[in-house]
Amino acid sequence: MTIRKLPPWAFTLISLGPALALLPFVKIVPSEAVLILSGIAIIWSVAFSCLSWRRLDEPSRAAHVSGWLWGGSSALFAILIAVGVMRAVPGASQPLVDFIDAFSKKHPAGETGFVFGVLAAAMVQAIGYFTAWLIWWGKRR
Amino acid sequence: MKNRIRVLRAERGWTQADLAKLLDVSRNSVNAIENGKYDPSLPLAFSIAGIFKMRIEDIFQKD
Amino acid sequence: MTRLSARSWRIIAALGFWVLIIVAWTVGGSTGLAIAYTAGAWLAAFSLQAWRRQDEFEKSAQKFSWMFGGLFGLLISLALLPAATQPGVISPLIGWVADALQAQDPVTPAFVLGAAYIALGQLVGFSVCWVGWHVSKR
Repeated sequence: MTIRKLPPWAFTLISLGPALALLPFVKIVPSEAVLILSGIAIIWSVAFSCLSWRRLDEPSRAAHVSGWLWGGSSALFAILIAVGVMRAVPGASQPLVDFIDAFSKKHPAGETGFVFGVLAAAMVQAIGYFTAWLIWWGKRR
Repeated sequence: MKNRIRVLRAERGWTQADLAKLLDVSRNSVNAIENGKYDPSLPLAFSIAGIFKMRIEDIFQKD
Repeated sequence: MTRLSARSWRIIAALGFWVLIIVAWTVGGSTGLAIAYTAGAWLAAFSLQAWRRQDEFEKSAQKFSWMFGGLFGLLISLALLPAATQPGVISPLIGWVADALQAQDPVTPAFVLGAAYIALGQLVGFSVCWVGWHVSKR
């Protein structure tokens, strides 16, 4: 089977492969080698995601666009609410602080917190995106 | 997609703004559709056909 | 009132938001933060109303821009993360956020800044893509 005949979901899996393989090696301050490999993994992901996109039909594209628009932006809004709760409710942020502090022994707390903030936001958006994508298809069964 | 909207609009002496108002869309939308830079959705295509009292396939042609 | 154009709703959303933000900044403290959240809710509510009044052309622009511009903004933010975490780059900003949130620990403002960094990257990507989309459709 040539690469052209692969279905869109196969392209998605191929695009994520290198990134997932690098996950065990990611640290708060990764080595230069891991940084370079991560950069290559991102470029690889983008390239195969574009190929996957071109193979998608119109409704599938509409599902992804709708998923990212509503899921991604709702997730950002949810993060904003969570920040407000952490600020307003005494002790609400303590579990988060304790969790991040466990990783802060070798690196400054600020740097660790920042990286966790970035990853948490990206993850929440990914969850929001996937949820909205499922809802889009669920409504059209 | 190619279309005859500009010609049909000119035959009726309408500006892009006039047509935009009839379709309840922005003038930019009408401009983009006329220039073939944007393909309208099916409901909008039906609205356009209804305004000109023609069939969709008489207004829009595949490239 | 419901027949106001999308542009009018956007103006109402933006004006109200910035007025409330200025008030929040002036008042400061917990009351200021509550006013800031009210500003966010104002912006969200009236932006949604503007979305409903937009035609499909503008909706397409925003969907396309958020999808591609937002995603590329996110990727570029992630790619620039090693540079952002260099000593001295984020620490002044963490201090500023800590003052704004009146945080007792250094971790919470840093976490908030990280989330804001990702959101800002997407906003920049979205804006660039939105302008590019409109230019390409002229």
